[in-house]
Amino acid sequence: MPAPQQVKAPSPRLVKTMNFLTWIVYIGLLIKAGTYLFEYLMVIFVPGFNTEELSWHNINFPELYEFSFIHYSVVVFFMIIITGVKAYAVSEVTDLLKEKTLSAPFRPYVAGILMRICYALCAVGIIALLHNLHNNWLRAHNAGLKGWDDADWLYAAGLVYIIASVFKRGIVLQTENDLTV
Amino acid sequence: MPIIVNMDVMMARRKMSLNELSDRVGLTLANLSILKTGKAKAIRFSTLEAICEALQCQPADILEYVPGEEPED
Repeated sequence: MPAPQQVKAPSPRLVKTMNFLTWIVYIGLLIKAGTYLFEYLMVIFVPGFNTEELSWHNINFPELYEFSFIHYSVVVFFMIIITGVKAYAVSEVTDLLKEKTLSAPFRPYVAGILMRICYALCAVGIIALLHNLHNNWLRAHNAGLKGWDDADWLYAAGLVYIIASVFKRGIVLQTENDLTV
Repeated sequence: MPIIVNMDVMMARRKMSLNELSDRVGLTLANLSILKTGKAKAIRFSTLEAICEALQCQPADILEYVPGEEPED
């Protein structure tokens, strides 16, 4: 049997940087979801409000609103839900990067976080898939928007699931090791 | 688990407390308690040797195989 390789733990500085960046992404996603909601309401209640000029995503909400209020609501609902679930996944990552979690990572609590991230990514992929199906229909009626990468999110969810499964096996081994006297 | 730890029986026979056994064997009270309550998943030969030496007994006096015992966890 080959000798076990030495594994270097990430430095506290790197963990802090990752934690900081994750928080920025989390806040950014919340702002993005809030912006979608704000623009949705503004288009309905303020006539002549142009989202294309104001926001960064170049989505022409008024055009879609004029096409159909229901389709407009469904599209914005999908966008808010996708962004919200992404924010939830990132908030779970911030939990993962806490010092308390990193001090003893092989615990069911951490495996639970990984599984929740996996489910969230899977949910983003499925909602993005539904959004794209709806969008394709809208495009056929000249009112579609740009699509979301559904396959990429499902792929990421699969990867996280595999990591979580390996992690669970690690927890079993760690528990056995702890209960060896 | 089908393996039952009868350490408390041997300790009673030898009139030895858990603290005393802990001192003699060099195991922490927490680990001895895990072993005594049957929560342990494995036992090292070195630990078994030390316990047998302290209690002046054989491994079979401490460990017993009972078929059909359901796992606790």
